[in-house]
Amino acid sequence: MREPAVSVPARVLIANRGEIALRITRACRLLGLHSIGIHSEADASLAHLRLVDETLCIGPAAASGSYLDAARVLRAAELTNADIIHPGYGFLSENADFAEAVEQSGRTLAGPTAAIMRLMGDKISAKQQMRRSGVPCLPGTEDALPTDLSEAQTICDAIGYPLIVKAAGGGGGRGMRVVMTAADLRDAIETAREEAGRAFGNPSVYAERFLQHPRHIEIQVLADRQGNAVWLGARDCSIQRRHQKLVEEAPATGIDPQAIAELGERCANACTLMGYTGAGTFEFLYEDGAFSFIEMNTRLQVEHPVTEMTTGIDIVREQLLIAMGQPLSFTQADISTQGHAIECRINAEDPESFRPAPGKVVSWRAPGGPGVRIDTHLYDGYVVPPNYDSLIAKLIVHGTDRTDALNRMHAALSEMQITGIATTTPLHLRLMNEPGVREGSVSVHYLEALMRKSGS
Amino acid sequence: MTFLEDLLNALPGLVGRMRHHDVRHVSLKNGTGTLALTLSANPGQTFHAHPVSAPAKVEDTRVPSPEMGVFRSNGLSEGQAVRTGEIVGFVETGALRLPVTTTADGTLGPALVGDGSVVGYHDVLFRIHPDG
Repeated sequence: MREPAVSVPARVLIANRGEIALRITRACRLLGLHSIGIHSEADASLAHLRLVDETLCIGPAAASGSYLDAARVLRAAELTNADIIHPGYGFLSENADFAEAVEQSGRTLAGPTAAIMRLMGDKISAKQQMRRSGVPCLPGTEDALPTDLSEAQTICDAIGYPLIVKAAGGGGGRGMRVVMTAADLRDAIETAREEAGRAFGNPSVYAERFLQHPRHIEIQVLADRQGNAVWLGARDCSIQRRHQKLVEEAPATGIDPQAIAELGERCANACTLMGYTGAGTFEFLYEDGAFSFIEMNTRLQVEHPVTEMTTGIDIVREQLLIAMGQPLSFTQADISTQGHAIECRINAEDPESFRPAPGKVVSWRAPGGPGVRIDTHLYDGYVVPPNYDSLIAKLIVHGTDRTDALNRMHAALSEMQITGIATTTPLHLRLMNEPGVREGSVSVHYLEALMRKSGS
Repeated sequence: MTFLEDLLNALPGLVGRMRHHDVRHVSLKNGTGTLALTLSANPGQTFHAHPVSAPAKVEDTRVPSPEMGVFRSNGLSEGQAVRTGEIVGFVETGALRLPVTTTADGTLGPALVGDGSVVGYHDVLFRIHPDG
């Protein structure tokens, strides 16, 4: 890989908004880097813009004309002579075409190469790569299902039922069908193909075993440009609603640490084998003692702080150092996890209907005390715009063990005050006392079942 | 009006102190105006202040950048009379050179960014003070 020339100090363009833009700004300031904050017209009053070295309004409020507009972000990078672009999460962070354009412009993306993003972005090629690297996958097809339905039937019968038919280029539940018995297979394949073709322009579908009550477990990795890769422990992100995580924790409770360590080693090896660089996450479903790879997120994740709290490693700082070409300053032997960390995503949403609730934050009082961390761009009078994701704060606590962390989280949630808009705080308060949550090890269906039971 | 009202209320006290210290002239300034008091040569004379209405504030019109890019001046200078739709500069974005056009008649204020500066989408480049 050709190493782009980097200014001293490196000039980092933060291609995101909200709490994560502030998080990246903090890491830039810590490292003494020159930070450039870009924003949409609706976001001129974002908290991090007060702290960066330079700001630039790149477009209108609509994300399609600002944060999601690769040409505008690249033009901003050119106008401000940025060396590194940190994409945060969401927006352009997993867009391989954008990553390629960044590379072609002679700049560095804080993340893997475009080629790796493409490899991991296609679910079939990602799974093949995982199998090659010894990362456990669900029993399923190696390639796309053949167009011949009887051939597809033979393959699927061998996998076993229930199974799920998924779009190769898809996501978000489209082009996806659960098949409970062999008799339902043909219809499911045809509908999934049709939907996938319409939604993603690629009618290829594949099949894999469908787990009924899995947990969502993920492994955080960091890999440098010198071929060193480490894993930083596991997170449990099973408390979700419509595939959106709400509460995350580290480590994953009730799973043999040795099994996690073996999985972590395999993930780190997979990074080395494919030439992965930067921070990344291997996502797994966990059921009956077995891990099954779902996908790799080739970027920083919302829930990275729980790993930071348990390992003491500043993941965003490491991302920037890796982007600057520096080798990891620690090895796997230096990494250990301590205590237990929990993160609650505070969204500007109605806590029962989950409808977005943008508007003016009249007052904001952050909780504090030992082991409490809050990552937020909120301040008194801040107006949450209706144009973007509703995440407004991440409340993170670190305790000596899981019970201690749950208690600390409950206390911190009770102390936190956000007035003027509805938030998910009441739901989190309730969750911290729910028997299922206190006990731990809930499945990905837990929250939706709980909401149904309480009639929400 | 608050400044004026405050002054009117404070006037008797002020005049008393001016006489006491034999101060003939006082000038009071704040951000919006100046009040000059000159002591009358004939003590005992009474003045009645009439309510004063502040002049209606005339809002300047902003001239925004049409795009994110590099600002290029076209030589227009501060104080020049401009008409609506007049080109007062350009913003270069890639190969495009987009005109910066006025949205009101009036007198051009100073350029708020220098020639060759990087400007953001809809950043204010000039203000126009309406005539009259």
